[in-house]
Amino acid sequence: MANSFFGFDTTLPGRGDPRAFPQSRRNDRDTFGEELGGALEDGDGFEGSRLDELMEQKFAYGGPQDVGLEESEEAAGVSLEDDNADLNDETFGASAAPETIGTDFDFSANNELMRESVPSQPDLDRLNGQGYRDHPRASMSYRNDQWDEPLPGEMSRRPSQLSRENLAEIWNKPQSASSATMRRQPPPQPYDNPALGIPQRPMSLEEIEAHMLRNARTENRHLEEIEAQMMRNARAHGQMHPQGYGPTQSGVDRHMMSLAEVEAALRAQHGPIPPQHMPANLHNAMTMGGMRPASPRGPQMEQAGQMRSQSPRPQPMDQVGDGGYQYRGQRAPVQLGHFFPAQHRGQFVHQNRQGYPRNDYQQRYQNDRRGFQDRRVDNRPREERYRGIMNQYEKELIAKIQISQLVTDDPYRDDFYYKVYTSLTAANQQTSDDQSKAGLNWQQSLLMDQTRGGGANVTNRMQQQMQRLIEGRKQKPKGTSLSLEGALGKISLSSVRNPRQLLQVSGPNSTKEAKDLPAPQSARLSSKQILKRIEAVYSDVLELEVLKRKGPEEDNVDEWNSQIEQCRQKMWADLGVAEPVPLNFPHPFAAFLSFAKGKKVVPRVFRFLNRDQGLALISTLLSRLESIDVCNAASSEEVDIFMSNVVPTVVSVIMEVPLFVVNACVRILLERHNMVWLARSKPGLAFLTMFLSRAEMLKQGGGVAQGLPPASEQELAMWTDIYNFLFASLHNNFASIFPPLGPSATAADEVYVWQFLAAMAVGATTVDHQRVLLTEVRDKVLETARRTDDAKALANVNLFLNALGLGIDAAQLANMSL
Amino acid sequence: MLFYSFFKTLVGKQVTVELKNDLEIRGTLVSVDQFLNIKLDDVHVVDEQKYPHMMSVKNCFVRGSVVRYVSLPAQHVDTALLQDAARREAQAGR
Repeated sequence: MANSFFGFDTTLPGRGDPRAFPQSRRNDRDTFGEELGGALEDGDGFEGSRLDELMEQKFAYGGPQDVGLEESEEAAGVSLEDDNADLNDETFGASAAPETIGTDFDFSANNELMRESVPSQPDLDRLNGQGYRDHPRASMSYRNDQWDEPLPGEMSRRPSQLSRENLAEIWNKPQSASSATMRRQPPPQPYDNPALGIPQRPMSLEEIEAHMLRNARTENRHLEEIEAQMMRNARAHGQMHPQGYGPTQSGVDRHMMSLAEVEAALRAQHGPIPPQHMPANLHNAMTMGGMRPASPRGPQMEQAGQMRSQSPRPQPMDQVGDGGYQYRGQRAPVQLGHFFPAQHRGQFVHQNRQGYPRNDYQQRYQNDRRGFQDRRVDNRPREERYRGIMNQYEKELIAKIQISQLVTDDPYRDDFYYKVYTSLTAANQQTSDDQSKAGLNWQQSLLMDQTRGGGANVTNRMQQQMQRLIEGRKQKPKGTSLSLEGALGKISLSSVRNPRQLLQVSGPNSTKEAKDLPAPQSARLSSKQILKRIEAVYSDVLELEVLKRKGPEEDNVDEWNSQIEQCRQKMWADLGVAEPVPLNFPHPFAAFLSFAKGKKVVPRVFRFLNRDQGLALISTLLSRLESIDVCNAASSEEVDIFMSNVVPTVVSVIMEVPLFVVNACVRILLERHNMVWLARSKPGLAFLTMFLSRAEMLKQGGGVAQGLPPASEQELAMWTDIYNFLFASLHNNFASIFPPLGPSATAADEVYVWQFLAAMAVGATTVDHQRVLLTEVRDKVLETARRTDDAKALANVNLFLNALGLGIDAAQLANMSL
Repeated sequence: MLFYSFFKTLVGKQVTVELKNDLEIRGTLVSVDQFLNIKLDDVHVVDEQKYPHMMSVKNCFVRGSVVRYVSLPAQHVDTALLQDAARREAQAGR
């Protein structure tokens, strides 16, 4: 029949008598099942409650063999492990055999403790056997006295129970101990018996000390065990002799002193022993259940331990003095006993690993102790300070990783701006090797092959190296997006090449464009479509330029050529000049030129057009001048862009053509446009000037140098007709071609006019022409000639005058007219 | 890679970096990386009075994500080429 502390039946349903346990359990000292008849253990075949299992696990921990300390333990003669079972007898009664425990549990009066007589031999043997078979176990029991709360007035009584006689009884036993082999047993003996009320021969204090020292000399005698046991004994004794509290304070003092003296003696003895032990033990003894870290900290601990051992010492004294809550006082040793094995194990293990960790710690400890004054300022240059932190391999590794992300196999695609820009500026500046090396980043410099010389080689070798890296990476293609099975949508992996899009814009026009293509040409007038066409031309041009820059690969010249040809045709088609457009329809190419970027693409396009195509373009342009914005009072910026982009291109083309081409072009102009109107626009004048000068050149035989046959009579006659027609249409209007003189008009603005006039003068076929010219612009000439402070103006006038062939210059003219 | 490529051509030139915390730093561009982190040398803060703590700073590394603007010398930028590069980039993306 099982009972518990609290007086109720703890047998679980289905349980009957205490069962026979498996042998292992029976011998397991970690359980207290035996004493209670197994009430707290699961029997065989019983499902049991989870709680019991948990409790079992909680209180069942391995023995020292698990930690590998079995041997040392035996050698030391004392077990390292101390479990809570020391007090089992007290807790549950030394004779807590099932048969002896009654249901009428009396908390206050446990017979065993109070018995004066020597207990029966079987009990003694049993107790002793328990103690001796295992490790020393304090089988003295507080039993139920601990819950016998003393009245406040009696609190001082407890310590007084620890009279000298009690102590003597405690320490008496070892002297009568017999076996030397069971060295560990003498210590427990005095503890066993006093619990049973066996009076011992009083020992003097010196004997106590000697006994203690003897015990302490054994390697692993632990102070707090001693102390705990002492305290327990003292209390037990006190309880047993309640009358022994007469000498109250003296008993208290003596108890305190004894402890203190004992500790001091022990410490003296423990000097040679590593100090960690002592402070650890002291500290453990002093603190209430505070668990220390397993690895002792050397010197720090020593100091701290000593300091700390001072302060808490009053505490346990208070506890003892208090005495009221003996349970509490008892608690500490119990907990310590529980914790101690781990701590000691830690100590022991740590002692084995003396070398590295301890030194490292000591070093750090010393460093931490550096004070404010020990600072040293490191004034070396920064490079020196941080030199040598990484070795060469590490640096190269990092450089490789970084560079592999950046280096590409097609720099014209990925690194376009940089590549083209450097080639352009290099073309301008003719950079030396040093400068080209300066453009390398540190990674390239690091990975450079030192033996190779020359700037160009370096980057090439870099690229070669990186090619391998790139190919290696291509082996396992990650791709730009990741789509998992079963998941909706894709995750796009951003890298340098495809950065994460902040906005996700889809093109709605892409679907519409397909419908518009078959539409009539007039539908293409919308500016959006024109712009799209321009962009198409741009991409073609860019492609051509890249191809040209790359140059053909070694064996693929034909392929390269074909690629170029393809691109050219595409571009020509995109220009829209290929198919003739009726004159009443707006021409797409002309629309190009209404946009700035359309104007800017013209010179680049021309580089890839052959002569016929170029001429076709020009003739288209000339015939459609009226629809071009610059000829119709456009902003000066657009005019400038036109003048700087388109006109020079055309000029360069025209300067190569024979006279009949010139004739044809001018005829187009004359037929299509009103000359007066045309002459009022800058581009128009520019074109006229161009044609005039070219014609003159050809007339004077300039074309011969270019491989052209000299102008035939027909062409010359044609040209003369054209000139006359032109002159006639401009007659009386020459003065109006000058741009309106605004407040900021400078001589530079009029240059083109003077050039035109000069060209006209040069091309004059008859003297009448010249006379008319001069007459009409006379005022202007004079006025400009008088501006003697403006050199440019003078130059302009001189140009005209020279062209006239009058033989006078501006200065003379000015003087003349005055 | 466009901006990385673009900034690579400006290495060694004087630029002024304006950060998102309104700090403006003028210095010589030493290097740039794929994240457009910027290293500047010979650093001067534009508004010295307001940021006295920057007086001792001679060179700095600026994380790319905190940059708001970078002011560049116009003569070292080829805008037409930049347009072309942007065109190519757009095409590559398409």
